[in-house]
Amino acid sequence: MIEHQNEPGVVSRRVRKDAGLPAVGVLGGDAVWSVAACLRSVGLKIADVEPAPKQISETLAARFQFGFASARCGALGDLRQILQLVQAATGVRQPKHWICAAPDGSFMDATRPGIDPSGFASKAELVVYRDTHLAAVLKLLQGVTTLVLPLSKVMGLVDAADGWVYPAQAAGTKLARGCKLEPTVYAADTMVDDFATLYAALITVNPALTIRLVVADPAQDLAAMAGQGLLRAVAAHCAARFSAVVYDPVLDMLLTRLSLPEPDARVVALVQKLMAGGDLLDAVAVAKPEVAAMEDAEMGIPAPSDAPREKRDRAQRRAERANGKAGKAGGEKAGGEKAVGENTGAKKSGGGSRVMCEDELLEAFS
Amino acid sequence: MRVCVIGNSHIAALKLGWDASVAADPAAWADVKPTFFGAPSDGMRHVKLEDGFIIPKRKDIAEHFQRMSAGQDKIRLADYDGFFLVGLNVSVKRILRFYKTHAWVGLSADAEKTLVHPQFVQEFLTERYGSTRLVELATMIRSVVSTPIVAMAEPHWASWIRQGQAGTADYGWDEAIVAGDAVQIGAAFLQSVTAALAPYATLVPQPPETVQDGIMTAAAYNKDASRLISGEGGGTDAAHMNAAFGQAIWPLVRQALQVQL
Repeated sequence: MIEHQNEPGVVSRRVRKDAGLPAVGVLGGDAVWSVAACLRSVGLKIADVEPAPKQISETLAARFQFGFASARCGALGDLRQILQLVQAATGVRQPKHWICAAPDGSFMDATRPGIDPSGFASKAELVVYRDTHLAAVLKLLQGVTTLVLPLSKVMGLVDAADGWVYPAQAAGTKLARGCKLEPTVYAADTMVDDFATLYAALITVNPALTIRLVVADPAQDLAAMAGQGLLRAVAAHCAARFSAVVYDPVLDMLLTRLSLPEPDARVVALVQKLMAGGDLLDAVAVAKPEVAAMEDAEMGIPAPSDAPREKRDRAQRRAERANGKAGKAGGEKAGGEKAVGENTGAKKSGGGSRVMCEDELLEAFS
Repeated sequence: MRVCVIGNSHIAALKLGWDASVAADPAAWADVKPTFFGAPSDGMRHVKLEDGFIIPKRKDIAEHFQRMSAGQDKIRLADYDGFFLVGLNVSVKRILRFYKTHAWVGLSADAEKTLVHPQFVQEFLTERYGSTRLVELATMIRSVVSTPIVAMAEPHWASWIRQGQAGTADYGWDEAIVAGDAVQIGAAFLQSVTAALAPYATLVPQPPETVQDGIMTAAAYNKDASRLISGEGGGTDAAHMNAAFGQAIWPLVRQALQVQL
């Protein structure tokens, strides 16, 4: 049991580490783009620390933003907002102007507008509500083994008073006195710095955590797509630099295709494989010779024996595995940063172990 | 005033209460002529609307109708000046099930529960009660007639069940009362059922004098109910009420119907 730090006057709530959460959590998502929903659609169990009641209709669940992510935290989508949420949940930092007024005069949380259609009659009620939400987020951070962070934005609305970034507010919302939101585009260095701080905060809360970055949003215009290019570069950089971070641009593409109506069953299978830590090459290893054989046949080249190539491939894979192990054993710098040149692809052992078994089986019968 | 009373097993208390009311003061009730139709449990799900009649789809339901109404195996809606729907799966138990996993701002703090906005509670429960047979039947009748329709939910369970009893599901009455949340839960129940019925019918709340701790019925209104209704002894039935309960209901029903006539 740990004590969640509250602001003065807020009802204290004790948070229990929940060992029963599903392994994968997703921080951020909304009706437009929900990675959590995509992953659920392929059969993955996604942690939900603020679930809707079981009997709810889809319409009502969407109206109150249930199920779009592992907590009702809004879309997020940029590293700064994710960092802020983690800092608030861990009691490191709180925004100065997070209480705003709805057109009807009720009080709302400016850090997650639209979560509920209306506000609260008193600030005290809203404080309890936010405090409980943050406690749930902390429970999520502590309880999952993989945290998926969907990224889609390279700009935010910054409050000059304390540098806190807010999402866009609903029309008619009255911000707190002294709060003026200015649009700001994040530089790549800023995003990397934010991620470094975020990484340290997450690993402190949950040392066993794997962070999976996802850069995808199918409902984007051209300018936003350009931003995605920058985000992909930042994500790849972070995955190369930090040991517990995974980024695979192929997964981005697959998730985008998964959000289409009636996605291809092969996409479903591939997302399942990648989310389980498998290697995409496992899926194409069989297909490649078939394509090559078709091309050869079209050109009238007789099919050679596959034996030498298979033998060479097996030897190559064994060498790669040996390199991978060496990298894991001695390739990490202090502070969780990776050594230069370390393999930054999928690092979990599930797919690799299966390949090894297949190799040994083939060798036993060769 | 010809009143068509339709319900499930909770209609029994209304029949006992009606007989007691008429026996106590026949003149006071001379203008009200109730006809009872019903079926136990969710039997009223097995009826259909056809040419202005509510017709049972099962033989056993038709037999219940005949026995209770003295001979009618279907309900001709045009024969009545008002309708009184009773029970039909609407009870506070739905909120108590929700309360096991969720709470709303204003209730006692519980870190194990998901905290939601009161507006969500109102909309969710209205949606949930909208799918009950009580609301479905009100919708069905309103599609044919414009006469008044009033409804009452199943009574809260008798207070003595609060501590639990072997063989009885624990719906969490005691937890809610001990936490100090029961009165607000009872209020949310009335608010959401009223909203679910609003387009079609008017809710008659359980008489305040019969309610205990917001979500229970005072034990006196359950006394001997199991013997009177089912012939069982030993007071094993906390869900059904006695003639005194029915007597407390009828003045409220008459008033609600007369307001709309």
